Amino acid sequence: MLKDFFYMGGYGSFIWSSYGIWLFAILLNYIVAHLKEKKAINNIITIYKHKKNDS
Amino acid sequence: MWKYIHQYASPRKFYEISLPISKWCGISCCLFFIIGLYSGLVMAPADYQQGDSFRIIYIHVPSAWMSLFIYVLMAISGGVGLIWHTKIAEIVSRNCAHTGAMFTFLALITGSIWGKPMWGAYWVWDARLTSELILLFLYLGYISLQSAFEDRRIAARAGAIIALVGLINIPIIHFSVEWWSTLHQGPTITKFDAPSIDVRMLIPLLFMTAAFKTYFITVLLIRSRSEILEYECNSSWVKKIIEKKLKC
Repeated sequence: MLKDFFYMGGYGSFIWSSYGIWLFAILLNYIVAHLKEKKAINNIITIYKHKKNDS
Repeated sequence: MWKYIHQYASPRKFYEISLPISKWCGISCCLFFIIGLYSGLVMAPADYQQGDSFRIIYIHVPSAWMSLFIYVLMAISGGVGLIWHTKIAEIVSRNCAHTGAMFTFLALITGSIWGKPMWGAYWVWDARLTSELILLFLYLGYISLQSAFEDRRIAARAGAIIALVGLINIPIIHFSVEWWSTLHQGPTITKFDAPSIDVRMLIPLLFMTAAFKTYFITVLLIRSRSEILEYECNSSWVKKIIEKKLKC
């Protein structure tokens, strides 16, 4: 049954390649956004620490 | 009512409200994806003409819808930023672009892969496909323009003009299947009539559309939050957030 599911009536390669590209794209987009937020916070923490040390 | 809406034009208010909204949208997105993918890939029956290859619809169609929706949102928020100089509108407009470009690319690539077994070709210079490709170029042009200027506010204004001019492409994409003789099939859902798709195929499509929408809101809010922090890094409310993070 699992074999039939992946075979998808002979269209498996088309379907799974589409879903694979889609999954990769949405995960990458989410991870990039999340890393951007983390980087922004870390940059501000660094600036804040420098200012605190200077004062 | 305007006073209620206007308070969220404040970067601080927007930041505060975006945290719970993005959390709940993220959870809803995951749930909708699970339900949509299971019902679409397992429960929905095969199409009588296309067989199982129709299941690409569950990522192709929501991607195409989102590519149009996000562009309209990008243009409107760009216009609001241009007219009323609202920082939040500019931030939202700028942060729509990457996800919009991604969905446009996905609509094109999944459509192309679907086209091979159905039409015998990965690509044809069909009205719908060509206008969607132009939409991708508009997104890429907008993103490049944002990077070209050092001053973000000038970049936002230039981008808003491009986005508003490109808005003409949206009805062209939508009505292309009616105005021209195309290979691409006509509307089955977004028309002034009952949907011509079987309900067992329609329900997973609606779940996937909801999943894509909540995904977009989640990512948009995450991206916008990081830009708000950069803009407002010297304000007292950002300092309080940083102090809280340092204590943790």
